[in-house]
Amino acid sequence: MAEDGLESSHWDDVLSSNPSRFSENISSNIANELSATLSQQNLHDHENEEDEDDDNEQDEDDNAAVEDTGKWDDRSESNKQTNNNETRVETPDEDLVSGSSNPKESKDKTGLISSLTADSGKSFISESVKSPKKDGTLFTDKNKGTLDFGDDDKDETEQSTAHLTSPTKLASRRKNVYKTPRFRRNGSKTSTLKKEVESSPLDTTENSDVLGPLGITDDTESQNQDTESPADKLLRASEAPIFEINRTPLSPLKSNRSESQPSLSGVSSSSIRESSTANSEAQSSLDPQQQLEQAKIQQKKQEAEQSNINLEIVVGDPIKVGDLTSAHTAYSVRTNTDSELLRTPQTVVSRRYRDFRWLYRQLQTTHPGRIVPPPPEKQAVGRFNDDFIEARRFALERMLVKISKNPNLQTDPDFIMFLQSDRFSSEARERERAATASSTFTAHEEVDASLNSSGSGGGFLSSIGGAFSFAPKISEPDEYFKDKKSYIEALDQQLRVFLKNLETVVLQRHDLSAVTEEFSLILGTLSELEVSRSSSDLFQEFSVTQLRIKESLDRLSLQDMLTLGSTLDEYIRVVGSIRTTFSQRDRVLLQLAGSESELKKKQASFDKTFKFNRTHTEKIDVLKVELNTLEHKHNTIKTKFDEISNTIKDELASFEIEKIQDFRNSIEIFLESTIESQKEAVELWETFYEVNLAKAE
Amino acid sequence: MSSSIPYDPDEFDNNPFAEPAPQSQDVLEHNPYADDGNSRSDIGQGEQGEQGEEQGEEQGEEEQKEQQQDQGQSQNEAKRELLAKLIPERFDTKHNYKINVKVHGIERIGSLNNKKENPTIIFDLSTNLIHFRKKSYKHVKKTYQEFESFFKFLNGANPECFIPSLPKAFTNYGIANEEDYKKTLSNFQKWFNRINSNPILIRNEEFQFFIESDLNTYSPINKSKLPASGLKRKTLKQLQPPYDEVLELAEFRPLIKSIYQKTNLILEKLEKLNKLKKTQSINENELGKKIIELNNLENSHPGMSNLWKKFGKTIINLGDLNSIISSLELATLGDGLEQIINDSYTIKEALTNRHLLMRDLINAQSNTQLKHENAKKLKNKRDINPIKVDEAIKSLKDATNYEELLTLKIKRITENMLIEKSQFLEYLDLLIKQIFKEFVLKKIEYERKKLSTLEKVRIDVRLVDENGGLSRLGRESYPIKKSINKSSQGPEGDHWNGDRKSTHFHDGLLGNDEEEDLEDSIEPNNEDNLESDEDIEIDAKNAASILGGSTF
Repeated sequence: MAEDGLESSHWDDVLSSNPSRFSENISSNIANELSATLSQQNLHDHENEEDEDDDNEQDEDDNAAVEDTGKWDDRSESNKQTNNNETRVETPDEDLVSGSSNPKESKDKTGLISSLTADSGKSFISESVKSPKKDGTLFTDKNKGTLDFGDDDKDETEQSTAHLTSPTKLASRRKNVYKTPRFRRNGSKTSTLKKEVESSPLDTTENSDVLGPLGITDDTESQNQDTESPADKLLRASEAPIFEINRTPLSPLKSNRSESQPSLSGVSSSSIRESSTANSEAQSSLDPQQQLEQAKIQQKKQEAEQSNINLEIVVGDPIKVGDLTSAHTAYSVRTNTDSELLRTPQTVVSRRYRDFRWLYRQLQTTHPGRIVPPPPEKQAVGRFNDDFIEARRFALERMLVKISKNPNLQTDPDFIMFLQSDRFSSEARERERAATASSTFTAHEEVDASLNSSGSGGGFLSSIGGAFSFAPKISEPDEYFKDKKSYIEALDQQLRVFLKNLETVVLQRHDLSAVTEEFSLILGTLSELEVSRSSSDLFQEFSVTQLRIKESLDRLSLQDMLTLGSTLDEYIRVVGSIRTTFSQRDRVLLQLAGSESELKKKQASFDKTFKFNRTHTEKIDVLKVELNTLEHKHNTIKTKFDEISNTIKDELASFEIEKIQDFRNSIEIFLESTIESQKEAVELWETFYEVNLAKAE
Repeated sequence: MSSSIPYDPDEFDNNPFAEPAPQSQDVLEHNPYADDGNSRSDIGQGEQGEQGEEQGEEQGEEEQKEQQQDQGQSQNEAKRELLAKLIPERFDTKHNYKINVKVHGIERIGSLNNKKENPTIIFDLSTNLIHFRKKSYKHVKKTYQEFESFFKFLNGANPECFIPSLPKAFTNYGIANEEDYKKTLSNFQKWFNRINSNPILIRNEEFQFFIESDLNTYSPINKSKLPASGLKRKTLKQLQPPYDEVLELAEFRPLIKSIYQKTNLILEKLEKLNKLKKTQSINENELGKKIIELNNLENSHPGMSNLWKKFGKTIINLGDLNSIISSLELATLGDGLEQIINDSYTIKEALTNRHLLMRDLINAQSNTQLKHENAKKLKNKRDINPIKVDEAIKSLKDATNYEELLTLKIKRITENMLIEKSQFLEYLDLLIKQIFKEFVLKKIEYERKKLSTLEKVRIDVRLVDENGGLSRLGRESYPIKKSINKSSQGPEGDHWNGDRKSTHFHDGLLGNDEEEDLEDSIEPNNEDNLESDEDIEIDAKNAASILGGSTF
């Protein structure tokens, strides 16, 4: 790839111009990063009492230990060596040589480098070295052929420096992405260019970093961009239907990670505004209530614009941890930010699914009335299925990104703790206790408890349903909520039906692709008969074409499930969250009704006493105090109720916007990918005709 | 023609090589090359035959080579002569008999079943064959059932021919469809052409009876019989086929058989595939309906509710198109495959018949042998009963004659089949191409329709708000309508492919209902913007040439 060449030479320049600064930079930065990883890794190990019996890692441990004892006392020397190592590995030629001669060796070296750069004297495994290997065991990388060692090494070295600049990381990620051979005219050049452009926001966030030396690399990066920008503009203007995701249709697993996040988050602020203006224009003739809604929606958007805390969250590297009984998948959560909320601009922590659920419940408790972005549903069977893990990873990432985009939730201490805490489980327990104590929504504890226990039971929706069922009937004072409740119910119903239908279609497409494959195989056998050369070629080609169609079908199903399917799934869960907020409100409403009747009773008894027992001033005084406290209590509940009602109204307004945004986007992706696959189908048949039949005339 | 050597019992004693005679005769007889190599009806043949099967064959081959080198033309002529004797019909240059048929109509009348299964085919016929009463026949009407019995007769009466199988009475287009009419008509025309191109078949007098009988009255006048049928045939088929010297035909039967079986399998899979596709299209329709329903909940956003409606409709349309495609697949590819299946089945059975006849021949040969032995025994006896001798000689003659007859018949069959085999392979090749062509063209047409259907809804998806959706990222200043309102396919080629100029693009593809669709969709209100940008024409193709080489 052209980009690689560019990258490596650029690295060479940097290294040769001022190697010492760079190495310092590396060591300090990596050290920061690694200490975080290490500590959380340790924590993790203690928690689960599990032994990683990975030979490679132990090898690295040993190596690192040896190196440490030998060279620990001389830090400058070690730094220098690191520098040497870095340059050696980065130079493509040499890399190739070392890679082809002994790939294992160079792998170990990268581990060695990172261990050498560590400030703390301990030996540990760096995340950067570990992750690709782990990746390899979980997801068998298609690029990893026996002959591809050189390439792999490059990847790994790039990964080891990935913490320095995010563009490199993105690029290296993408390199793993499998690209289908297609008759596209847009070469890889354009796509790499685009990547560069896409990743630029990350650079700007890093520019303001405290770490001085980083500035060097960033500067050159941005210079690079400047030189490319004219061509870039032209390209952008010229490519009529640009559609990023379709370019790598086979690999939504990987590409979504890097693509969907920036694109989805990128549009939201600007397009939200415009859509709202469009709405208000179009709907000026609507009834006042809807106008009120519109106004609220608009207000919502301004809020959203004001919240500019920039959190780049990536959930990645799913790793299967633990033995048979305590097996689970750990995800690494990487956060890049320029805000002061987090201790360091880059944070990497390891979290498991349970932790995400904790965060969800915690946010629900501490933010009553807010629609908290939900984690994916629990699943008992097939938890280590690759597809499932990827879908879950994607959903978890969506959850965190959505939380980070919500101005009310992004600053939440629990969320921040989740993003950076090294001793998560203990802190989580403390916080939970604190939240329970401080929470005035005592009634909610039941809900939360039932949510907590829903792990053993059947999903949290059912528990909510239970909560609904034993709630006594209260007359709903607000017409708005009545409407909304039925609306949400209907929406839930329709989304479910939609998803079910979509799943049926996708499932059927799987069958279709299986039968197509059989069909293709049988055609192949007919061609083997060699009745005549031309006809046997024809059958051969036809069989190949059928196989291609099968592949295209598979890709399309995967796409559909990942775009429309995952959006639907997410919204079904969000609807669940909304229902939770409704039930929270209902409980407050119940409290309100209770206190009101109590107040009335007190008032009545007070009146009675006041009327008939004027002489018992003491009693009257007592009653008066009681009445006052009750009134006070009633008022607090009332304000609380109003508060929660307003919050929910707020949230529903932004929910509407987001819903339209998300669905429009996912439908657009769905449509575009379907169009692409349709084009492919046309192309396949046209090519088939061209090659085999056009001459027959 | 070694078998035609008159067997003189007196001579036989003197011939030490007479013992393996039946087999060696067999070898020589059925190897046309061996026959050519030797001057026929020469006693010397017996000497050739003495070597036994393998050697005989080897020699035959050697001789063939020699013959090619040495005698070349004269041998060819000899072969021609032989062939002309065996299959006079094919070498009849004098008369040049032919029948021309032009099919012009199909009538489907009566009950629904009759309509489907038993159409009436109307055709004109002209001929120069003498046994026909007229030179030309106009408006001959024959029902499908009559065709079937005629075909059956031909199949039994002409064991040396691969009779073209009858086309199906209906196609998968459905009998109400005009495509079906055209297709069935052309299928029958093709069938007549194939029959008429076969000089052996047109000379069959049954053809005349078929033509001259009234509508719905034809039944075969001559009797035709297969060598074996029913259970006997089944049992005989289980046996090892008799040794076949003509390698070409020996290999041809398994080939045809596997064509038959594999094509059957393919057809089976195709039907399964289409069944799935049908259900898939039903499901897609269902999905589309559900999507349309979603618009009921989209009260606050007209763009979005429009999107749900249009998108749902598109999905429904796609489902319909998919259903059409699957029918078309069956009609083009499926029917074509069925034709191949029927043809290969007839040929397979014809080849089986040949094997059965060969078996008969072997029996006849051993019978002759037996008679021979009897005559020899009688001869050696002291007291010769003249009546017995006469009887023995008579039966030997009968047996020899029968053997001779069979031998001739098999030779004729072999030679003609060799000719028709190559003809059939050519035809098959052509047929396969034709089938695929028809299939692919239809497929392309409908896949393109699907694509244009999909692209039509693009505008509704992108214009949910004036922002233009994800596709606008980074190109906000580019006129929105231009980028959307463009089909990626057109008569001058596809946008995604610059290499190909000629595509199978139909003009009606884009124009039909686009306009009304556009009116329904919400229009962006930046018309002024549009006009100013009208003159800058940048599309993907242009840009590529502007940019030229690399940009860095």
